[in-house]
Amino acid sequence: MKGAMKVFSLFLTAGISASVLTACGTGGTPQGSHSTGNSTATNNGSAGNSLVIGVDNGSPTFTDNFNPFGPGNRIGTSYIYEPLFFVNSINGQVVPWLATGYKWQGNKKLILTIRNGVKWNDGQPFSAEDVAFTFAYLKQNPSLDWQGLWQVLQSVSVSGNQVTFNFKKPDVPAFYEIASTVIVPKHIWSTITNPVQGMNEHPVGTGPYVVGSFTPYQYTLKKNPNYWQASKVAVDKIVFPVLGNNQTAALKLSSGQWDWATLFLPNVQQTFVSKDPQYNQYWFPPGGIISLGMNLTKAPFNDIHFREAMAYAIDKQKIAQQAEDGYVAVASQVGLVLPGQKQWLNPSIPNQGVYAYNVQKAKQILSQAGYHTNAQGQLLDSSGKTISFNLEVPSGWTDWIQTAQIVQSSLKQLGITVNVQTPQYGEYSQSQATGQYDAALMAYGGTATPFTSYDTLLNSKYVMPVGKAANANVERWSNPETDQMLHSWVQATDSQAQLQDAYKIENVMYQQLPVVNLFYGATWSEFSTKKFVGWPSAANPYAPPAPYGQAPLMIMTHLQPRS
Amino acid sequence: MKYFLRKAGFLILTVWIAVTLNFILPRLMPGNPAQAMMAKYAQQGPISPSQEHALALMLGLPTGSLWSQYGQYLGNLLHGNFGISYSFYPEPVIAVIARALPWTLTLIGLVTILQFVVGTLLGVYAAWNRGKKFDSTATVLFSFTSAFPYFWIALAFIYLFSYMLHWFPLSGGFSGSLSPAWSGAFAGSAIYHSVLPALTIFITGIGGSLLGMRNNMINTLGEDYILLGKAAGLPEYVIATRYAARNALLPIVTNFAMSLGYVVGGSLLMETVFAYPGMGYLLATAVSNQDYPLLQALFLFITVSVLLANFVADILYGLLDPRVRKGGVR
Repeated sequence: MKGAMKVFSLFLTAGISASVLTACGTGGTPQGSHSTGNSTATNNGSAGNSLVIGVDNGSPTFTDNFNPFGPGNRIGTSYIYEPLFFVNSINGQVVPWLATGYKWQGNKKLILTIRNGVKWNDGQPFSAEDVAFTFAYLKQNPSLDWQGLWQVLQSVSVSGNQVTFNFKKPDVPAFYEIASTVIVPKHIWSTITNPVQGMNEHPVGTGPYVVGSFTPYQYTLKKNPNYWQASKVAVDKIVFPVLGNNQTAALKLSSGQWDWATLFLPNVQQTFVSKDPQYNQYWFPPGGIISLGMNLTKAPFNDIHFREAMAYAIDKQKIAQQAEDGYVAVASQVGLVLPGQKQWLNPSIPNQGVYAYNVQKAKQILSQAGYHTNAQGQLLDSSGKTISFNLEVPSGWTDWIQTAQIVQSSLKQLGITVNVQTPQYGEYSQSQATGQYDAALMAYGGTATPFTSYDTLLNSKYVMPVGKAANANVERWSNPETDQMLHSWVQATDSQAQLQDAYKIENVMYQQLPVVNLFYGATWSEFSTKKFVGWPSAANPYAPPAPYGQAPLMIMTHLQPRS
Repeated sequence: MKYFLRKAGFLILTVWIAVTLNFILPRLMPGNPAQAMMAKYAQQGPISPSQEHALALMLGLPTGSLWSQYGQYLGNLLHGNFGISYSFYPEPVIAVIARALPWTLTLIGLVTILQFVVGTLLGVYAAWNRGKKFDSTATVLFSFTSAFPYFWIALAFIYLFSYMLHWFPLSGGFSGSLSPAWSGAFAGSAIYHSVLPALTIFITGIGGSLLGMRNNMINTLGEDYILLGKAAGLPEYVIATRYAARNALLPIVTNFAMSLGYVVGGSLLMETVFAYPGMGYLLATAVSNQDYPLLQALFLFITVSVLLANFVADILYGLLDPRVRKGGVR
């Protein structure tokens, strides 16, 4: 389920980093103890062509839930069900998966060609009927349609190996949502009337793996011998043990019990790589943008000069170094996740859209815009009022809290008082939705097409009056020109036309600063190349290096045994 | 008899208050849990009003007036129906609790009893030999261990015994290759995995009962009847156990009964450090996910068992110490 995965990845990029290893976790290095065969009984998968992945956390034990539609399913579910296309969120590359190709007829009709010769893991043949059924099923059960596809879809019909999607109105970027929808077998699900309430202990999918064994502290997946790309799958067995808390998870990773994990580790070179320098590697590519979101219905945030001054005054480099241990880079103001999305970057924007740290410049902008400082060094607006605001960060997200504190100290140099507040996540998101906040750290971006990010960030159709909950555009950017650019983009099937609209929106982001971008949130991934090679890397970013979401389908068909 | 009836009436009243508070408190918290959950999903993409409705149906959000919700809530309680957990969706709360409860009751229950027995005996011994070598070392040592932050000692033990020496597993309640079953292999694995958790809570908790008993006992030893016993030539161990310890034990019994009540809540810190499948971990999960149905059920279990334990302690006290009953009639 993409929806659940997104939440999960967000949790990983920000939440897991919440607690920092205590001294006893990072302290003394055990001499010569990175043998894989240690006394703990949890790792019984070290033999043969198997991979142990530390990613799925029980509470603390696993429930046997492989429901592709359920919010609480096991991570392993995404190794079993497959989408129509794999879309690489790093660079937007589209790889044919259960569909072999697609074409647009006009901008309201999309035709997909479905792959022949694929079988469900129970032996039944897979066909275009299953694809059409899955989409009809989403319509029939609106609680499954997380992506809101049926708000734009008119009908889905099947003919031979072709499935045709008719749209109510042009929505070319909806292709990416159709592409990533996982397909379920008609012969199983057509009789299930309450899909979210089932546990689906025996998942029938088309994917490379089937469930092997299941216990409350560990489950295994084994290779699906009838998989349509079986020759590309080298890992015969995957073991998913319970993670445990952050500290013990880090110990399990550094002691070599796991081959692949997705943890925030302070000083990864020392805590992980040095334990087995020959094989232990990591790659933390950017996966989204963490920004300072401001309530644009309030002063001083409704003043473009004030926002511009913020972009210059906040020490983003210090945030990246201190709050994120130097694993991430300062974000470009254009709203693209670089370098992955560089093909979308408007070449006329200087310095790839990064605002350099420059307090003098910020002060200059403010004084030109009519702000001045009083004898105590406090910044006053043109009517003589001091400027102070609340900055909200979810409770427990320590790296974000540290970021907020750096924002606070940066803006103090301008004479602005920032109060960092850490409400519970529910309260944090609700105050943004209803517009009853001053400023907050927000995550966005990293979607397959930048359109999706820009649309949810900037489209005025999501804007709600203060007091009513908005689902997107919570900073309440309302600008007819931006809407026009998005409207033009949503209708464009031609990539050059899309690019022109993207350039215009990047200019809006860069010049008008609806939000102030701070840094790129990373996807954490530590892996051992001892048994398998061919992992995604900066040189070959064929997928995000994440063991969750749809990336594993790509990665498990790329890994090869070390010979 | 009047004393016991009064206590029983008091129990019923407090349980009703607890149940009602349990109903009201989550409704006073800012933001409703389903909104929080929906808002999280909304990060993926906008949620239409119809989907919001679908989600609300999926979660079984309460509808209707507060009074009718209260009626429903009481009715559901009587049927043991606590609704569906959000964090374990689609599992019912009662199933989630039924899975966790035995682990907590066995481990924390045993350790609590062990702590009480060993701590009390050592306390008696220390008090009888007060000022001597054992007393002075034990008092200092156990004041020290009971002041340790639990988190620190647990992580230190894990690092030493599991990570460095490989004597024990790093975490978990039993081996990942086993499923719960009535078998020797499973029991062995469960016991092996429980050694470090048990040891750490035992060490940090034993100081309390030892010091409490020692201090009570020293007070009792100053009483006239002890002097009389000694003068009458009763053997030392008879005075120590039958006269001094028995009287010193009275306040300790209350403490013990109370702590048995708290057993149901599990040990939040221990269970999170060791990823132990008990009630404390559930509580942590429920809080961090704003899983109100689970949270309510857990609070109810904990309050009711503490109240029951209190009731039992009161009754026991009445039986053990006639003065309390007489005082009650006055």
